[in-house]
Amino acid sequence: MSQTTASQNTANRTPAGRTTASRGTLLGLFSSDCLKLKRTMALPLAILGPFGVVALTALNYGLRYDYLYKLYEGKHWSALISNTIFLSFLALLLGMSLLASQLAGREHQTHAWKQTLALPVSRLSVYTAKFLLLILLLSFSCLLLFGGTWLLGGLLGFGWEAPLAQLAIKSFYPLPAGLACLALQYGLSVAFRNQAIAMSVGVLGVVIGMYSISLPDFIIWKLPLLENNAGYPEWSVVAGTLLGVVLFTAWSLHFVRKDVN
Amino acid sequence: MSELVLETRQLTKKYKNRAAVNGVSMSLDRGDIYGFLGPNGAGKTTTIRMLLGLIRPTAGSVHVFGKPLAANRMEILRRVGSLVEYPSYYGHLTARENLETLRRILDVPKAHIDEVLSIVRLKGEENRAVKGYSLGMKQRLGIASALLAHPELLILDEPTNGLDPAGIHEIRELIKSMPREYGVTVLISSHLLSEIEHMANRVGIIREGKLIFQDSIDVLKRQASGQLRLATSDPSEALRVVTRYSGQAQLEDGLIRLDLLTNEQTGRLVSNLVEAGHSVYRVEEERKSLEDLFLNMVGGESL
Repeated sequence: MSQTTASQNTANRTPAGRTTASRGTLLGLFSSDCLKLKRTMALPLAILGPFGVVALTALNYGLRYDYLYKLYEGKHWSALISNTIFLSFLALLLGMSLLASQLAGREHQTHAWKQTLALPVSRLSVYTAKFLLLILLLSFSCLLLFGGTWLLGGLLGFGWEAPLAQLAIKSFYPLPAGLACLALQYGLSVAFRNQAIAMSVGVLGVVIGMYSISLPDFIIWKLPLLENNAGYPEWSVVAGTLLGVVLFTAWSLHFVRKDVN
Repeated sequence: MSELVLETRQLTKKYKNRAAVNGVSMSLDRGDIYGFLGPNGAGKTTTIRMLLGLIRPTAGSVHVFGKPLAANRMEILRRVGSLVEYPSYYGHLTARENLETLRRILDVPKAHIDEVLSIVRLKGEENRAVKGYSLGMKQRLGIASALLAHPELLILDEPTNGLDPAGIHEIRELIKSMPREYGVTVLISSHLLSEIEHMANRVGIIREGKLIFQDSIDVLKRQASGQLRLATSDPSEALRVVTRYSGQAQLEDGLIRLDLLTNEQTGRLVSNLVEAGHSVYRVEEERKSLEDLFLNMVGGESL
């Protein structure tokens, strides 16, 4: 048995046996990170978030349907969408912290950083791959929120002809607008082994988010709410994305230079 | 034989003025099994982390396959497999999935997974979640991960830590076969000399960050000098005869102890004793163990 293995091994050791195309690339790292999600809470969490938001809104309407129906007479859809975003925005902030902490915390827990970084990979790719995965997971949540809200409105009898543009804006814009928060949470989760640090900041962010409507626009936890003095949600998206890129770059520089213990 | 696979030049790492590793210059030839020894906290792991580019040296350099690591990190790490301290594994994944996460990064053929699984004899267990594995199995999975890309240089940091004697034996046999069967050069660290004396051909000993010994294991064994013990019918009388051969002879627990003699000298001593009317019950050579020598070198702090 071991003899066969030995000869196979020797045969494969020739350079021809190696594929050189995408070794150590971002794609390889990304697909490796996807595999690690198996049997973890990451995907259930990404589903649970939008599901919870829609369920709470449904509860709100279910308990006082007649009152709300009369109150929002003639603007049912936009009222439903506004009601949803205030919840979904908080859920998004919390979800960012939880998912970032999940993904990075697992690497800390399993002492995997040293193993991964001793492989022929660029550290920037290692750092980027997980961030892209976070964005992908949260995009999935946004998509579920979009579909869930539409379904809820339809079931509540507001008609299936929803203002889709408005619904899409409120479902998908908060993610790029919250990129700064995500970059911050991810950076903290990776930099500090102790996930309590990142989670404390994350929860603090949610609390600040609750009162952010009356706070100045430059608070990053207000950006995903899409409320600003200019009155355009796009302003929040641009600001959040730019700040996110800056924070991501700063944290990734830290990661690239860090000693791995 | 003389092809250098790994070389460090005056490698130094300082943490706030305290040097964890201080001017270490070590070298490994192709096909070596190099035992890297030292008590806990002597700087072994810090050195190994520098060899893998995980931490940056404060001074000095690492050269692997004749090239400086700092400038050729990716190219070099492609040919190096490593296991640093406790193995890294995802407990919720199976052994096969764990190896697959690495395979996707390394982009090597899928066949490598089955191959390394059978090398470390985890075949048949590969579809169980790793959190249910014994420590020895996790360690073997760690070695399998290190072998996945068919490395030319294998760096193992305390691979037998926490294993039972059977597990240690198994890993030792596995490592011993590496240069022979796969042409792999191995660097293995340990805080126990006994663990590596049967597999290493070269040894480096580090103490308080400094490399205090580096040579072949035979040189180390020669340094472990022995003593001769004699059991005779009348030890105190016999001692008088023995002192003519060795001034250092002493009586201890009814046995005469003296420094080692050559075969001829020993023969003459025994016949003289017999001629003087003593019965010689036993002539024993007591070798000072390598472990004692090692403990002397590292200052007896190794526990």
